[in-house]
Amino acid sequence: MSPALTLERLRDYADGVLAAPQARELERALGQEAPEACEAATYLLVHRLSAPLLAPTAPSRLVFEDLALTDAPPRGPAWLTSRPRRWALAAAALLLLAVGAWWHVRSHDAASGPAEVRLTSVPWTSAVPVPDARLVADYRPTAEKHVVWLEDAEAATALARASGRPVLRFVQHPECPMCRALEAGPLRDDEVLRALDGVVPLRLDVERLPRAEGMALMREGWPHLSVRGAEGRVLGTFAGMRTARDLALRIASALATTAAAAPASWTDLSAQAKAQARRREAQTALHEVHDLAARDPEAARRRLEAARALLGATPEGDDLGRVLAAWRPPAPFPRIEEPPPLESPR
Amino acid sequence: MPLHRRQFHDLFLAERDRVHRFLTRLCGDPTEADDLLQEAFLRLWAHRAAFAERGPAAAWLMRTAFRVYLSAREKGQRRRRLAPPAPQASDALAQAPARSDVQAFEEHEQRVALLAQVHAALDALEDGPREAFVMFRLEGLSVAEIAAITDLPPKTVETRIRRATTLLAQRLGAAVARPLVPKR
Repeated sequence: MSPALTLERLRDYADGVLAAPQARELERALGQEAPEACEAATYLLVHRLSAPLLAPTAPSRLVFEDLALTDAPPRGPAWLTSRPRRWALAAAALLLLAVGAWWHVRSHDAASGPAEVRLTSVPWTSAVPVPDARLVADYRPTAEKHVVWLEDAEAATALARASGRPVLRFVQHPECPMCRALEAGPLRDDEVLRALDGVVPLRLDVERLPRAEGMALMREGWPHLSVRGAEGRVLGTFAGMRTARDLALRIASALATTAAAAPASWTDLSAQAKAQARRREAQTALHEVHDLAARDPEAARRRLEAARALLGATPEGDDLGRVLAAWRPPAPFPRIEEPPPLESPR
Repeated sequence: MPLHRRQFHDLFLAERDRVHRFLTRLCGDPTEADDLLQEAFLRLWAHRAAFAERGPAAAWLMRTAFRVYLSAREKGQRRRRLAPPAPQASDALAQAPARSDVQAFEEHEQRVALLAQVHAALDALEDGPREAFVMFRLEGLSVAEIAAITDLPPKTVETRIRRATTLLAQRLGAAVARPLVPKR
């Protein structure tokens, strides 16, 4: 904006009170073809059109006595009573209160020592056995009219121990037609499959056995089946081709020789194994967090929160949730109390 | 230094009419302007302890009056229109010439119609530009004075006045039929 065309000069010019040299300068600026000149001309037009609005307004009817002034002490100095100052003072007071409360809680936590948490499910000091991975994955000895054979003798023995069942050992040769016939016929029979629920089925290739043992088995008959306890004791042997009925009866009679009570169902065993896996996970997390808490409380808390999220709404997850609720760093890690002893799964 | 009652009385007598006219032109009603004026003086009296810190009393009073007006406007208690001219001052418009003088009578009718158009155009503006224009054109305040009263930067005040000018010119365009530059 040219200095000649400021609003105040335009107003003075329109009112005829602008000094002559400045008026001439303004008129020269108005004569130029520029947006500023056009805008200035617009102002002059509006100035002229709005002249009737300058008429005086009605006088005030207010008199001094209407104010009814009181001699109450004036409000305090401006720095205290102005609105922004009042807000600032209120905000400062709130901030002080918050800081004080935080300091109080912090010092109280630090002084009152660790909280106590009683676990309900996760053991704190006693070791949790490693569950069998097959049980955690819902192992069953039969499925859809066929036997789910294990091929590893050690795994079968471990599973036999974990499930309280003997091993049904089926020694065969891949090229043996009778072995294939037994698998395709009697070993797919419903009665046999029901009997197999009480054992852990193990299928071995005879060529993987020691030669002397293989030869001895061949002399007994072919194919060769035996029921053996987890500790290795032979409970029954039945070699050669068998009918389904005969096979079911022999398995049942071999199982009857064991003095043990009826084993838990595979469903219960799977559930117990999963609970055991959760307890191990929770216990491991608790021990790690306990060791880490003093050095890096934030990392420790993150580890605990992750384990809590992994375990979800389970008794073990709830135990970790209790620890999280009781532990507010920088307070020390809570003192953990052992849960009541768990009932034996069997 | 606090403001004493005698000083306050002098200030009231010196500034009442000016501030009343200012408020009347902003809020559009002389009676309501009296209410706002009273509130402004009472507010000044309540804060008389800080009198010395607020600069010249007249300028402080104008700022206070404008804030009182803004509060009322925000509460929607005031209608936004320009005050009609006082009866005794608008003789030129109110007293129509004799109908026998046909030319004078027609000119008078045109002036009345134009005034109504100007009123309507000003009334249709947004609050900010309208208030800036009223203070600049009708109250004769400088851009710096308006900026001090409204707590706005001078550039913003200028922009508002120019915006009001442009809008008024557009709305009153049909009335343009006279030379833009006045004869000197």
